[in-house]
Formats: sequence, structure tokens, C-alpha cells
Amino acid sequence: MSYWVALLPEAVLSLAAMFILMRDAFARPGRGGSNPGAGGDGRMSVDCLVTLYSIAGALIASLWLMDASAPPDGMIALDGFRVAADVILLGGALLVVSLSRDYLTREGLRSPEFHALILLALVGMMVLVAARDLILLFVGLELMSISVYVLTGFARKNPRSSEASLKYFIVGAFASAFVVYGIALLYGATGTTRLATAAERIAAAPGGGDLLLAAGIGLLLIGFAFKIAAVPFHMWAPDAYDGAPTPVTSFMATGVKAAAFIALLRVLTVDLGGAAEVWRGAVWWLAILTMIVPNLIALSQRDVKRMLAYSSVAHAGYLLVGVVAASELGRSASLFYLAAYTVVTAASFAIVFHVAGRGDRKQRVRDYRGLGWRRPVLAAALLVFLLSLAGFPPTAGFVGKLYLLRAAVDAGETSLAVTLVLTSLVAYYYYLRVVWKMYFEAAPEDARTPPPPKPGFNFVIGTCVALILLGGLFPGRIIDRAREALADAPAPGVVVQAEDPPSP
Amino acid sequence: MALYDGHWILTALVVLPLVGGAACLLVPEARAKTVALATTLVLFALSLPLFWTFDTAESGFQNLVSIPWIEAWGISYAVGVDGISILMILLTTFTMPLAVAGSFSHIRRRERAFYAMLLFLTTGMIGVFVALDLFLFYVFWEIMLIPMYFLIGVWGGERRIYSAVKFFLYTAAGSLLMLVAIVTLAWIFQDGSGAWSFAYDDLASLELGRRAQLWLFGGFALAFAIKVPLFPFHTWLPDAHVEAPTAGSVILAGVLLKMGVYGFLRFGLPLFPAAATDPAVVNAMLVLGLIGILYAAWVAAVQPDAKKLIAYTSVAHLGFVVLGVFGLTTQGIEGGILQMVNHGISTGTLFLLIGMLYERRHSRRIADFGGIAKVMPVFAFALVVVALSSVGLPGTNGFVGEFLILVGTFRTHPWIAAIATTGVIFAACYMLPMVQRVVFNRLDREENRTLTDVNRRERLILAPLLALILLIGVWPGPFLNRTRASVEALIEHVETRTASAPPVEAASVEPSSVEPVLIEAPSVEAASVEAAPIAAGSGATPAHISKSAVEAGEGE
Repeated sequence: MSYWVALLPEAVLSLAAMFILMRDAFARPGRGGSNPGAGGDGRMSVDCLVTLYSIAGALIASLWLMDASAPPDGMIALDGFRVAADVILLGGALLVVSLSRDYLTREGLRSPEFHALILLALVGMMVLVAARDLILLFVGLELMSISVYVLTGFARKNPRSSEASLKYFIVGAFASAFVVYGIALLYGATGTTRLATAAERIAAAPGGGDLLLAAGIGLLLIGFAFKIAAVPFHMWAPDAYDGAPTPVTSFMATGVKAAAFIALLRVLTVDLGGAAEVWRGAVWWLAILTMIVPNLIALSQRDVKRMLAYSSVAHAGYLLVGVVAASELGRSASLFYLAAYTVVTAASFAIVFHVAGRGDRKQRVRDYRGLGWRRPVLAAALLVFLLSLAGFPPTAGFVGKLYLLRAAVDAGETSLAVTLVLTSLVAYYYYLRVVWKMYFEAAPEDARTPPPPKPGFNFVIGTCVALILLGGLFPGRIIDRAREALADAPAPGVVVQAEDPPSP
Repeated sequence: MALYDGHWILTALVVLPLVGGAACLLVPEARAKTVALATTLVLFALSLPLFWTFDTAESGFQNLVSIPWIEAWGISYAVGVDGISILMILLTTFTMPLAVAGSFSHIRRRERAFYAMLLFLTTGMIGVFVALDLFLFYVFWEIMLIPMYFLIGVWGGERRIYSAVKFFLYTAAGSLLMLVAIVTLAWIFQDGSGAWSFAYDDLASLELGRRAQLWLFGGFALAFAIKVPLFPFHTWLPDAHVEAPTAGSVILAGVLLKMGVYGFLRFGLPLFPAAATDPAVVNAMLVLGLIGILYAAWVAAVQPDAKKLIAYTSVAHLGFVVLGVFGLTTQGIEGGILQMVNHGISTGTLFLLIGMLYERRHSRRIADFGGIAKVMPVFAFALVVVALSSVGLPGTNGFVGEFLILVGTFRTHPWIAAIATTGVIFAACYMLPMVQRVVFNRLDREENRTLTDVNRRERLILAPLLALILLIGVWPGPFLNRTRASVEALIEHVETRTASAPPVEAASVEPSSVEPVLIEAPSVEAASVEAAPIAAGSGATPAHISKSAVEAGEGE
């Protein structure tokens, strides 16, 4: 089996993206509609179908690669970690795409470009997490970022979307510059861009004293901190999240963040693990700040979308606890948490844009008054998601939080564990506020009840609820698989089953 | 009893309300209350044999079940019952049908959701009392908050949202730190034995350093102290009690408040004996309990709102219970457990009575009533009996519990007990005037002349409660019997663990004598731990792991 198959999942996605773009370019004049293929007639558009099938195909390809292994100096990883990452990213994208259909129709957004850009961003993410070479890592990062800049400004007629896109672009480009500079310095320090080789050289050298290495790691860390929106590099995130069309926000909060985080996790804790004393303190502070600050700011948000934006920044802080732990336990904890977070975040943003209605008008917390009694099923699903975000049993979010706590305690980071639980106490308040608006307060007389969601939407949301509860009640198998996957040698089997996507 | 002797019973008690709750959501609105009542009655019937078949000589856990749940983390579904939890379980199953029946005329909207929440809450409560795995315990402990949050928030009074959120955040604040303590404890076990475990028996067998014990005990104690509620963590309680619907108040007073003390008895004392018998900790607990008794009595005395008055009496009563527990004598703890039952019964009944009055008059202000004994004689009779039980009149259940607590505490801390005794007098000072102003005096308000006496349903609710008040008052033996073996084993466990030690009585006066003796060389003994699963019915025969220098606060 040639090493080329390592790129099979990416190839599937890229071909699908090309197909969608070509089809749009050639088919459009004949159709004449202003919004071709958006599925306005209730049927699923071809773009959407192609996207879903290609993601599912990439998922299967990725799982099939489970047993393969890469040559020691290969540029693309082929191991359990990559498969686990792919499952999280592809599963998240599957949820985002399948839930955003109604939104595209409602807001009159063009479907072909949306889906093609999602697919291209996805290719970037997967290259980013699979890269074993810093140059390739950068290529993946840029492909992902550029696609998402465009997606952020996708609602062209909406000035806030354009503003968000510009902000995101400027800050993102700035962050990319940090990453490139960091890569250059790392090359200077180690004489290679291959991560495996660099790891060996760092381990061989008496680490830590090298200024060049420290500067390189520092710059790389700053660049990635921008990408995952860790405090104090998070300023762009709430605006970009708020302004972007909600499905894109959901994609940014799940896929983009997950990809950048997984890459960071792997590069720091595995490849640069030998230089842990260089970055550990810095990441410790990033984690502390990222847990505290956004949670406090989220308290005063009156807009659900913005609140979720801040909350997703805060979740990056929880995830960083797993990085600080810098152990196998920490890695598997982070991945588990990320999987649970991805499902919940994608699903709750979907409910937010469903409730918001045309033009995203109703997304303040007060617009949720009485929702619990008028749309009981939808509200109950949101309740489960909020409880999972808050880390409440019996949801996967709770198991993830416990996992992270174990990793923190195991690494002797009791202060991080205490900060984690105390900040989630703060988070309880703003998650609960949505709950009490939904159930404890009556809707005003003239309030419009959101329309009942389409069956497809309900199906996906229902699957998410089931995944979250299963992950909370019976996480045993998932944990076992995750640990197997992350063991140094690639192990057979399926990884992180919570992410098993609903079939399109 | 072959049928009953199966181990399925505790699991059935946990699962049945869950099923009943789901059924409530599915049936038509008007049928929900019937389903709920039937479920809780079956639940009570199922739990009764637990009481009869309970082996009073056995100090360990009975009806033990342990099924691996999340094996990688050493988490199992482990449930069992012993002398400390048996009465709590029965109190729960006894209270629930009454709480459901007491809501029939009170809850008029969203009945399906209401009864479903009551039943989900029951699952959480019973789960807390039977769980023998700390992960399982924590899950139940937290899950319980959600239905209660809804009960207060949806069906509560005017300030319901404020009260519901306050209740939730206060309780969650304590339990989150407990989660860190639980994880740390499991990690310490893993450090010594190589495998993670959250099983109660495994963790109870750890021999921790003194400093580690104090830190971890702190994590647990905060959660429990808030739940008790111990002064000064009690401020959520009056709000929650007053705003909750009657059933919510009854359950809060009847069962939820017991969980804090139960936590101390089940986890605080056995897991961290050196910390829990540390003189500073003991004295702090006793003084806080004492302040609770006196302060709550004084505050209760000036409340114009009858429901709020009763809410404060809870703080006072639970102060007595804490006194009994941290007096660390057999009588004190036995009395404490019995007093928890008593408080559940009498305060629960008081809330039911106030609820009945409120349904008729839509007021809870004491000043709005007076002389209603003339129009509601049965109601007046019940209120007087329950108030006397709450005050602790001999012949009622309250007397037995308080007497045992005071005797037990007196043996170790005579001064504290002496001051606490004045609390009994203060109790009379707030309770009796309230009764007098509501039931007796002159019937000088026109609105009160037309009040109707309690109807048949309400009599059926009150009768078993009043009977139990008198029964425990004159014949507490069967109840005390069932707790004794476990309490004695607990005291013995604490004493042997607190070191090759002088008796606890002396230990708590002389700080230098309670230093735990730590066995050195952890690595040698650690190997012997692996073969220590939860052996059926042997809570007190732990494997020995020695940890000489585990310090929870270290290592950043």
C-alpha cells in the first residue's frame, strides 16, 4: 500500500469541493434562479448531498487508515491520534452541514460556495492535524484560515458579517505571521522542519537553555493561541463569532478551534515534549486566564449567540488544562472533551439560529422566554446541551470535565483543577439563565413561537442528544477506544465513538 | 423472604421513580397525579420490607450490588444499605407519597412536568443514599439539583427565580470542590495501588497523611455544610423553602437537608478520620452548629411569615444534628440520625399544614390568622401536636432525638451541650407563640370564619405523619436498633484510624494526642491492595494502603 493513501480522506473532500464549484460554474446559466441549489423546495440540494456524502466517505477512509502506518520520517501522520482527530473534525462538520440547510434557505445564502468552502476548510484542518512537518502544518493552517475568512463574510449583504470577516482576517493573518516566524526559528534551532526529527534533536540536546528554541516555541504558541482564541489573544473571537452567519460561527467554534487545538496539543506535548519546561508555564497561564476571563464576561451577555461565543472561548481554557498536563491522560482527556464539546456546540448553535428566525432577529436571552412550554422538545434538547456545556451529569460534558480533572490532578496541577471547577460554577449562572428564561418566565403575549423544525433537523438534534447522554452514562467503551488510539503504537479499532455521525 | 432477598431491590428503588416520571410526561395532563401517586406508593411498599429484613447485628452494607460501570476508571455501579442509610431511604419513600398527595389541589398547571420532576428528584435522593461509589454518589448528588431547580423555579412563589438560582449555585459551589476532592482521592488510591478506583471501600481504606486529610475533608465538608445547611452557609434555605411549592418545601425539609449530615456520616468521618476528629475541626463544627441553633431560633421568633419561620427552625434542628454527629459518641450520632428522621416528619408536616392553610386563605402571614381552632378543629389539633413534636416535648419523637443528642454531646463537650439545651427553650419561644397566634386567640377576622376544615384527602395525609410522631416518641427502639451496629462500627473505625489512640473523648480535648501514626514504606504494602474488591457486607474490613506523604495541596 503506497504512502499516498495517507491523503485519501483529504483527496475525497478536495474532489467533492472541486465538483461542487465546477457544477455551479457550468450549470448556473441554464437554471437562471437567483439562488440555485439552496434546496428551497424542501428537498436536499445536490451540493449539500455531495458534501455530506464526501464527508462520510472521508470518515470511512480515515477509519480504514487506522491499521496503516507511516514511514518514520513521513510528512503525514498515520496513527490513532490522527484518526481520532479526523473523527472529531469530520463528525463536527457533518453536524454543521446537515443542520445549516434550513439556515441557508432562510437567509438566501448561496449554497455551492458555502459547501465548497466548508469542504476546503475541512481539508485544511485535516492536513493541519495530520502534518508531521512544520511547512505542511502551515499550509494546512492557511488553507483552513483563508476558507473560514471567506465564510465569515459570507452574508455579503449583512455589514456585521463583513466587519467580522475583516477583523478575523486581519487578526488571523497577524497570527499566521507569528506561526511562520516561529517555524523559522524552530528550524534555526533544530535544523529541520520534520517534527519527529526535531523532537529527537530536542530530546538529545540538554533542553531549555536554547534561546532560539524558546523563541520559536513562544512565537508558535502565540500564533496558535490566536487561532484557538486563548486569552489574552481572544479579542477577535466574540466579534467574529457574533458577526458571522450562525452556521459558520458553529463551524468556527467547533472545527477551526478543534483543529488548531489538536495540532497544538500534538506539537507541544508530543514533539516538543522534550522542551516542556519552556512552554509549560506559559500554557499554564493561558489556561488560567482563558478559564477565568471569558466566563466572567459571558455573565453580562444578553445575546445568546454572543454568550455562546464567550463560552466557547472559555472551553478553550478547559482544554488547555489537558495540554498543561502533558501526559497521555491529558491528551485523551482533551480529545474526549473536544468530541463532546463539538457535538454540543454544533447542536446548540443550530438551535440558536432556528429560534432566531429570519434575519437572526430573536437571539437575545429574553427571546427565549417561555420557549420551554411552547417548543418543549426543542427546549429540552437545548437544556441537555447547556447542561453538557456546563459539565453537569449525566452528560458527556461532565465525563469530559472529570477526565480533565483527573489529568490535572495526575499531573499535580491541583490549582488548575480548582480553577476549572470554580470557573464552571460561574458558567452555571449564564447557562442557567437561558434555562430559566425558557421555563420560568412566561412569553409575552405577542411573541412569535418559532416554527417546528424540519424532520431532518430534528433527527440530527435527536442524535446529538442521544450521543451526549450515551457519552455521559456509558463512556466506558469510548474511553477504552480513545486510550487504545492514543497509545504510542497505532492500535486497531474505532476511535471516539461518540462522534460516530448520523448517516446523511 | 426469598423473593425479597434479591439484590434488585435498591436498584428498583432508584429506577422505578425514573420510569414513573417518564410515564407522567407521557400520560394526559389529568392522569399525571394518579400515576405519580401510584408510583410513590409502590415505591414505599417496595422499601418497607427493607426495614423488616434489615439485619440489626450487621454493621456493614447489606443488599450490596456492585457492577463494573466505567472499568478504565475503576467506577462501578455499587449500591448498598447500612444502618446509616436505612432510615434515610425509608424517610424518602415515606415522604414522597405524602408530598405527591399534598400537591393534588395545590398544583393546577403543568401537572405532568411537576409530577415528573418530583419523581426524578426521588431517583436522585434515593441514589444519594444508596450509592457506594463516589462517582455514582456525585452523579446522583448533582442530578438532584435539576428537578429541584425546576420545582422552585416553575411552580414557586413570587421570588422563585431568585430563590431557584440561589439554591442551585450555592449547592453547586460546594459540590464542585467536592468533585476535585473525589478525583484527588481516587488519584491517591491509584498512586498507591496502580489502578484508579472510586469505590467507597477502596477509598475508605486509604491511610492519608494528616495534611491531605484536612484539605480533602475541607472539600467534602463545604459541600455538606452548605447542604445541611450549617451557619453561615444557610442563607439559601429560607429563600428556597419559602418560594418552593408545598411539595418542594416538604421534600427540602424532609429529605434534602438530610443529605449534608448523611454525607458527613458516610464520607466525612470514615474517609478522613484524622481531619474529622481534629479538635479544631470538631470545635468549629460544634460552634457553628450551636450558632445555628441559637441564631436560627432568634431569627425565627421574629418572622411574620409562618413558612419562613418554619424554614428557620430547620436551621436550628439541623444544628442539633450536627452537634450530635460531631460530639462523636454513639448516642450522639444515633440521636442525630433519629433526629433527622424526626425533623423530616415534623417539619414536613408543618409545611404541609401551612400549605393547606395557604390554599384556603392565600396568606401565610401569622397576623392574618387567629382563633381558627373554632372553624378548623382537626387542623388545629394537628398543628399543635406537630409543633410540640418540633419543640421536643417528651412523648413525641422530637424529644427522643434531641435528648440523645444532648446526652451524647454532653459526654464529650459538656459546655456546648449545656448551651445547646437553651436552644430547646428558644424553640418553644418561637413555635408556641406562632401556634397560639394562628390557632387560638380570638377569631377576629371575617375571612377566617368561612375556612373549611381539612378534608378527607388531607386527613389521610396527616394521619400517618401524626401516628409516626407519637410512635417514635414512645417506642423508638426499632429505629435505633437498626442504626446502632453501623454507628458503633463507624465510631470504632474512626477511633482506630485516628491513631493507636486514646479514646475520641480525650482526643478531642488534647490536640497533641490525635496525630495519626503513619505507616511508612508505601510501596511494599501497595501491592496487596489489588485484590480488594467490594466484599459483600464487609464495609469495615478494608485493604490497607499506606500513604505516608500525600499532600493534596502540593505539587503545582
